Amino acid sequence: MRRSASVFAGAAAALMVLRLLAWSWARPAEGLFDGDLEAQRALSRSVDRWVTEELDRGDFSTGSARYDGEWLFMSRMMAVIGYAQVAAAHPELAEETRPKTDTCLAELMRAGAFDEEAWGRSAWDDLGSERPHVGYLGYLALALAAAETVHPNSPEVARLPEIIAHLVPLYEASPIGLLETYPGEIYPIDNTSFFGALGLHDRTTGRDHAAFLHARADDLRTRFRDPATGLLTQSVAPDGTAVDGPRASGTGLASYFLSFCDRRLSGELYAALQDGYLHQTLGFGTTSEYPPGRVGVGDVDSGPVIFGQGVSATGFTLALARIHGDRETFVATWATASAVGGPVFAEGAQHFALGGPLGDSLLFALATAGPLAEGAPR
Amino acid sequence: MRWRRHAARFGLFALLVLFDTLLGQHAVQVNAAGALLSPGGAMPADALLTALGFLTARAGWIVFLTMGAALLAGDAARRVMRSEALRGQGKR
Repeated sequence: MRRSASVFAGAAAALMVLRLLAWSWARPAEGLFDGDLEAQRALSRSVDRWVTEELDRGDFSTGSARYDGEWLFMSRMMAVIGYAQVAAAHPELAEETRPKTDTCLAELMRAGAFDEEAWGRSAWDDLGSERPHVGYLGYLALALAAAETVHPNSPEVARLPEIIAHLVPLYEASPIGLLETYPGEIYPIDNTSFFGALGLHDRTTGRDHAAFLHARADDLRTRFRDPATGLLTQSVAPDGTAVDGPRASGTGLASYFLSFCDRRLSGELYAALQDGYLHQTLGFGTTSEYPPGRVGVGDVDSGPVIFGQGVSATGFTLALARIHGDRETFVATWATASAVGGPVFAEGAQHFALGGPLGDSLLFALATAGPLAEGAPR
Repeated sequence: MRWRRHAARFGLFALLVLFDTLLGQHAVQVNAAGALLSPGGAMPADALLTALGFLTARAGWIVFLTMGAALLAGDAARRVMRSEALRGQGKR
């Protein structure tokens, strides 16, 4: 009796300490969720450091030259989206973020080597051809369209219509409504980056691709959502059949990008994730990478998968929770990001110890998500 | 003797928190990013060691804190139960 009471008291105390730790790590999330200027600025400053530093593929260590190039590109792209989001939420920051945005955009225009190596030709030389280069042009279009919302006169933004003129006819001619990232490789998530870009561009410029975007959303709903889970298929063959099944990392990022053009579909994908993929344990929020019954250790998209919980999927949940008004999930997920990522405060900046340029940029964009989704069709 | 044991435990806990802080700052300096984000990464040895050291220190002080709280609470519960039992014997 005495022994079991002692064990019970000990276990209760241990759980209470963990709950308290989650609470303390989650505290800054309240300000971030509410769009607090200083909280967002602290994240922005961490990205400033990487923007002023000259980065190249050698600064990343994925073990693959292509992925190193993708990570470098994504670091700059997510930084641009983050800057656009905070400038949209706090217009007084627009002038401050402008030069950093321009620096990132200029680098993005030159950062297509990973794509060129895969296709054997530069994406810019291939404009107007049948080679889509969605892995580069789709994401670049999104960065340009995000920047355009606050800095419509940025010099690089003038190239956005060229990308749109290249990709829209290719989509309309595609029998499955999706285009290749690399030769023979099709990922729905990469395609959603361009759909999001088009939605933003339409709202900024008054152009109208609504019918085109409706058709793409219908394709995603009817052909590339797994009927059992509601999640997006991670990759498909040229005939549209699934190659890699539904996963939370691809669905989470796609839901974020789709929020720029179709909040309803974005919300449907988030609801699918809420239905069995989002977990909270003692105040720590995590997101399962795979559907129940499927096991994996993760890849370059998911990050490590630990006890079924994906690092990338958990991060992407931050953006979705903020966009769709889910404070509880945002706060709990931030507690996990802080516990594992290790926030480091220095000179007003909040870095993540294990984030590096990509992690800092991702968390900056994901934790400030929302303003660019406002105005998107619901 | 008991206070020495407690002091040693507290010292180890403080050391782990210090390592957590210092290695976290160093991880930002050496860009030890890939450790968490890329399972198939080919990180430089110093960055990998920094990331592993940071995670170990962090896990260490968390385990230390929770175990410490558990032992303290368990000990307190045992004392309460024992004193209750003694009081019961005295009444009889």
